Amino acid sequence: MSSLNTQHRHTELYKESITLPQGKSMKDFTNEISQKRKEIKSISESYLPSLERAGHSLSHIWDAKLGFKTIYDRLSWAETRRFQAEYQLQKLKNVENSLNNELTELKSSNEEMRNIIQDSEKAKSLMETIEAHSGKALLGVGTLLSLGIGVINPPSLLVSGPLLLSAVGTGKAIDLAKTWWEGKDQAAMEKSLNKQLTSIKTEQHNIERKITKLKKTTDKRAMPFENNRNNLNALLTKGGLDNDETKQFMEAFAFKYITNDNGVFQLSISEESFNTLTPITKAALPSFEDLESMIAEMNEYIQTKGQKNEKDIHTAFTRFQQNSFSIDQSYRHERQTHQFDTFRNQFKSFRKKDGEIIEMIENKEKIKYRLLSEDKNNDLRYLVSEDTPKSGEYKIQKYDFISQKMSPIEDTDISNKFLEKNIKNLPNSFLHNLSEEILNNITNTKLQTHLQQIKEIQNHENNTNKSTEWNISVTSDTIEVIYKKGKQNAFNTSTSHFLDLQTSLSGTPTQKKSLIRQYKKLGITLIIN
Amino acid sequence: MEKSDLKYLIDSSISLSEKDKGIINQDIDNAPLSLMEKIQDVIFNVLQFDNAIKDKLKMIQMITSSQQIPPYEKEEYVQGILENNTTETFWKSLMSALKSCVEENEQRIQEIQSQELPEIQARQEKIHQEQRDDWNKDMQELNPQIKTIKKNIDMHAEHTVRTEELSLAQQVKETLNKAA
Repeated sequence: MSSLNTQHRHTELYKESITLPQGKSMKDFTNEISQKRKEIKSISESYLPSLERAGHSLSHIWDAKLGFKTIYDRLSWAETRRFQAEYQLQKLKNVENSLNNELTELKSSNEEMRNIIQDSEKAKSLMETIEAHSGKALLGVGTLLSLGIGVINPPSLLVSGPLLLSAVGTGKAIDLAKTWWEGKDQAAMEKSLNKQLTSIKTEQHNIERKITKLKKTTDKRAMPFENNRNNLNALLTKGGLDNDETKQFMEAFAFKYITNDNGVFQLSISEESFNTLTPITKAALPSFEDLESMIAEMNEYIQTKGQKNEKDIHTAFTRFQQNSFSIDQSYRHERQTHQFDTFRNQFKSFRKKDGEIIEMIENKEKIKYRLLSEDKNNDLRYLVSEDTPKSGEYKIQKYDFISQKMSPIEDTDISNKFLEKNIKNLPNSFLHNLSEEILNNITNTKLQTHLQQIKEIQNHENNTNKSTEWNISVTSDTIEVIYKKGKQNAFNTSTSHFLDLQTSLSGTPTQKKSLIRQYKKLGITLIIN
Repeated sequence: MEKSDLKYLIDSSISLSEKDKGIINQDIDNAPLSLMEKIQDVIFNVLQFDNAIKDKLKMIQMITSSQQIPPYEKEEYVQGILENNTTETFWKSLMSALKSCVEENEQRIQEIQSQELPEIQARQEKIHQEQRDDWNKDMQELNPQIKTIKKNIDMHAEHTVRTEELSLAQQVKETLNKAA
């Protein structure tokens, strides 16, 4: 009886007509067909023996078997097709997912980049506002990157922080500057900060190295050109120049990397650029015609050999390098004083910016100087000794890069322009000791007034045997005087308008504002920290 | 801010090494309350640095993945970013390049949204529809055959029951005969 019950149950199953399972996944679909196929198989396996046992004819059993087989095969084929469809759908789904991921990534990347651009532009606008307000490029465009999108540079903020604070007064960058400024006396904090900064810089360096490596992999298409350029750079490096110098060297010598119409890497030099080189650079170089013929020879060599063999390119560059250095040697022979190393050092110094420190050798001794304003046309730089001299007097010199001679600064060199450009890098004692003659020759009245006031301060300091700490910066429109905190006791009499400083530094905000206004009338922007 | 919050911030930094994180966390633990504000500022500074590095990475990634910027220009931009080139010329050029990258991404977003995704979805729908049609066709053809089999099974079952009933009746009859 049990086999009969099973048969009845199977029969019940197939009383329901098989309809399309709407809304099911392809996997459910496939599973269902598979299940039906198994059931058909199972029924046939119990039904057919049952027919035999019941004594049905062979043809009858065969017909029944055939009927099952047809259905079974049809379902198997349907199942196979569903599997194929499922596989195709899975592939399409993967593509869809990857497109969706790309979409999300692009959108978020764009949003981030828009914020970065916006921040940077805001920072630029902020800087322009500050510059317009103060009449002076306080931080320079460079800081835009730092404030907006780039690296925070605590030392520079340490210097510029107070200026920013007084000019704007809000914002994260300013808070950061304030933190640095106020926290600078905390030795422990500094120590901890320095440790962190070193670690951050190391990590940043590692990241940069990783990025460079990654970049090289992604820019494979540019490799033939890059290889050649790198070869030349490497050869110049071998000649004693580091990467940065190589770059400057190439620029200074008016060389350019180009590719010709056939896509072959070549060097070029233009007479126009060559003529803009400074006399000192020109003096260290062969003539334009010689250089041109050397480059032509090297380009011809590369052209002949093509770019297929890296070794050939290398040989060409080596020849070029040997030629250029042999000329340098003949030049050296001609003028013993102009050795390549000397030139290189001068070249480096000459390219330094105002306020940077360089070392000069005087009487076999290394002396540190701070570079003052640059006068490219005359190949002259003014220098001020960096170390505090024992005599208490700073040494201000001018250095001629052509003759490589240093000479003391003359009164005639101290013009309005010189003072305006260099006042921030000139030591107080130099300003204190300016002669009446120089002061009388100054046509910028604000500057003159200010310098006279500085003299008053000095007299006051001499009388009271106390010193103060202050920084000044001057432009054609404004003069900024920054008196630092904690020095209010430097002024303790009431005979000069400077003496109000004592009140202002320890006084109420209203008193401070009043003093600032008073100074503004004199053309001086007073900033109290 | 609680000390634990500060520690969490330090732990999440990408620019500090594990060793330094440990040192700073220790500093935080040992710091007197009067120094807490300063420490917060320091941590803010570290986070600023993190953000700056992230921004640089983002810019480099954006530039290098551009299809429109030629490789040698990419090289110059990446070098400028890494070397903190702060000239106004470079800044302007970089901003313009980044904007063009954003624009390039926008075009790609449009392309994906308006062409590629609808196309993929249409292909999937087509396969689904084909499968539904196939299934209907299969069932249209198989249902009559299944019905016939079902009928045969029912008949066979009825016949088997009847045969078994007859056999049982026969047995009963034989038993009764024997008993009689």
